[in-house]
Amino acid sequence: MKAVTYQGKKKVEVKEVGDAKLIKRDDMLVRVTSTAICGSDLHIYHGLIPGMYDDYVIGHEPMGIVEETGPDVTRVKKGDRVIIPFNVACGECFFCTNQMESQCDNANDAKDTGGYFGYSETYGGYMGGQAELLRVPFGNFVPFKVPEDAEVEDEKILFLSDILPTAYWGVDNAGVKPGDTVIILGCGPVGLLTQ
Amino acid sequence: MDYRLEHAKRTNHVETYNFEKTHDIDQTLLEATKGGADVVIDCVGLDAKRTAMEKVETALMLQGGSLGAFNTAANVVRKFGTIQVIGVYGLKYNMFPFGHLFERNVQVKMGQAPVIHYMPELFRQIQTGKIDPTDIITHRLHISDAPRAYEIFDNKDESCIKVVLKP
Repeated sequence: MKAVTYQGKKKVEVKEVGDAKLIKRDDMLVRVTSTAICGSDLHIYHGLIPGMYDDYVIGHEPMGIVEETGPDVTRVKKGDRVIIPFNVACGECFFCTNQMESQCDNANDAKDTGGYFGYSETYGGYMGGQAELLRVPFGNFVPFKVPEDAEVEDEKILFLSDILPTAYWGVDNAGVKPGDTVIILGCGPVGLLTQ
Repeated sequence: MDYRLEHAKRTNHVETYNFEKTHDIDQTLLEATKGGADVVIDCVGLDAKRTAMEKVETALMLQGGSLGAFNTAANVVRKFGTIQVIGVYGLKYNMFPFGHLFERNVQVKMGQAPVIHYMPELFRQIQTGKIDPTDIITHRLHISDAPRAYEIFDNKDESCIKVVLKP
């Protein structure tokens, strides 16, 4: 499969790499139809993220069509349209069951943090979504299934994978109330969506 | 920078300030908010413009990037206000304004967003037309153009805000 790979500081290369495969029983594979570049991908690009190595597949803002599911996946099936969030999360631990899925206890063996797609060995070692195919663990919790009757193009819903809920959570978590004066520092994609 | 501020003004109807072109950004924001904002949301993180010292320290891995955006946040939030950090920072920082936050009862919240549980509700808001995030997409490229896409996005060339790649 074709994939965007890390090749050291300020160098990405589109390469033919081995196809993503199902590993665990509740994994699924997604054929990616759209995938965005995030500001935090630039931290990888600048060589700031420890645990990256050459040929590592980058990307955590993808969506696509389910290509294959492991035997334990019941929530989605081949052919479903899905958006994949950047959080890798089991759906069963204390954090996942209390709306803290960005710090899932079962998604990262390397460190006491959550796991994220395409973000180095430090954050779980999951390959990223800037590729033709993506392996998605925890197929019964991670993917958001786009309702079959929804006629909405990829571009409108792609950012549900990261920057839109990230911006929304920022406002929500900060406890912004009507009438508050709010300063947003930053005018990148997340800053613009937060405003 | 300016093209993004223009975009913000046009699509979000917000007041904008270019920190590079404002003489004293902290003072300007304090005056505009009459003594500080209730909430400051830092969407910058370690990518803020680095001071000469920070450049050296970051290269030596003594500093996790710039603390500039956070320092501004600390200076323009009101007493008992909240700083919410969404922009990603490096692991460790010298000269963190700990006491400055403490003595003014500032609350700091931060982290990676738990996005999964927000997806259904935000999907509904997009479907009903309440939110349309597509206006930030400036570049649509084939995935084989990724090297160029990263370069454009990184350099903020061609008024780039957001790039979508198609495999």
